[in-house]
Amino acid sequence: MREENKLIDRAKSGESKAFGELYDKHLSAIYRYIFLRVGGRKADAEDLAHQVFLSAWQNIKNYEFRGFPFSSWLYRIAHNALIDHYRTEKIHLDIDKVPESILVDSENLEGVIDQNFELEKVKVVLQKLEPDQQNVLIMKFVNDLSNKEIAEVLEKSEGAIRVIQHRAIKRIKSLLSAQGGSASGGEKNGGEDITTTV
Amino acid sequence: MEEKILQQLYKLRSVKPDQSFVKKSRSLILGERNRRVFALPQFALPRFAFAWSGAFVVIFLVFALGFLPQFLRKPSFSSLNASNLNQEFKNLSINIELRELSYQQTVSQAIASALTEISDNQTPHLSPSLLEAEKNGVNLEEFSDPQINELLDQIIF
Repeated sequence: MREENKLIDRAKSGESKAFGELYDKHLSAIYRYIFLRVGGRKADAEDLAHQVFLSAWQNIKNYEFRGFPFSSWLYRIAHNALIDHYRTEKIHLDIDKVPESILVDSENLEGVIDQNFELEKVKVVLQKLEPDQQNVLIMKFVNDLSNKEIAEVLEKSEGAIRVIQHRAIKRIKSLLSAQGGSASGGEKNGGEDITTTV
Repeated sequence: MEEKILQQLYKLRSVKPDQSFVKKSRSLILGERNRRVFALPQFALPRFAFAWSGAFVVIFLVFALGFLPQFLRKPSFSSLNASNLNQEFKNLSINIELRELSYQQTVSQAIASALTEISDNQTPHLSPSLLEAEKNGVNLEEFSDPQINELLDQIIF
């Protein structure tokens, strides 16, 4: 934390190398958050992630520490970028396949295929949730942010975040029940079907 | 079921950007800032935009207030004033007429004088005796010039 603050100070004074280190440290998490929020569309995720860090670099002099990590500021920029994105862009309903290049630790082809299939199902489920529910689940369970940090990013209370999380889980269960599947299922009913293994 | 959902969400932590994208985006972002910093001097930065706009407004007002009275005033060029021009034309024709009158009077007097002298035999400078006396008084040899004589000979002969 102290090391990051030094990097931020150096970046605020215009040192591009320092911002480069911040970029390396936070890009993956921000990209992952955006990637899942845009339904796994790689091109959109890359464009938005680029915009987020470009905006951060151009406005880093305005950044002030308010008791939250630097990543919260980046998440807020990303959150606003996503709002603008969905406000101006047509929402795509089709879900792209997860490219193999985004997966790591894939020891064999069978494992990669299984992992792709499972991830695809998770992405489909996420897309059926409300934006705030997606935000909370991704930030908390994928990117490991605390409720306090999520509340700061989304400008809500911690209690509201807990409620949103609870409703998101409940909604996923409801979606799965509506499909009539079970944990051992695997039936597919078209592009947006959800199997009960999720 | 909830546990399975969370397990699947945890698996999404494996999502990572392409390295080619990372390299390109990184260099573009850091290059962008460097271009901005080096391309624009301090006074051109956005935080000075308000000051600059204020300064331009003040300069404009100074010029506008300075030149406004002159724009509102009627043209004061005497040469373009209609009444002055009329007066000038009137005076011009009178002057021309007066000058012509004076010239004609002088010419008339000269002609009358010449006619009088021609018709008058008593005019002293046309008197034969007076001319004869003047001829005798002139020493032609004294003012003779060989070149003039030569030229006169060529003309006469």
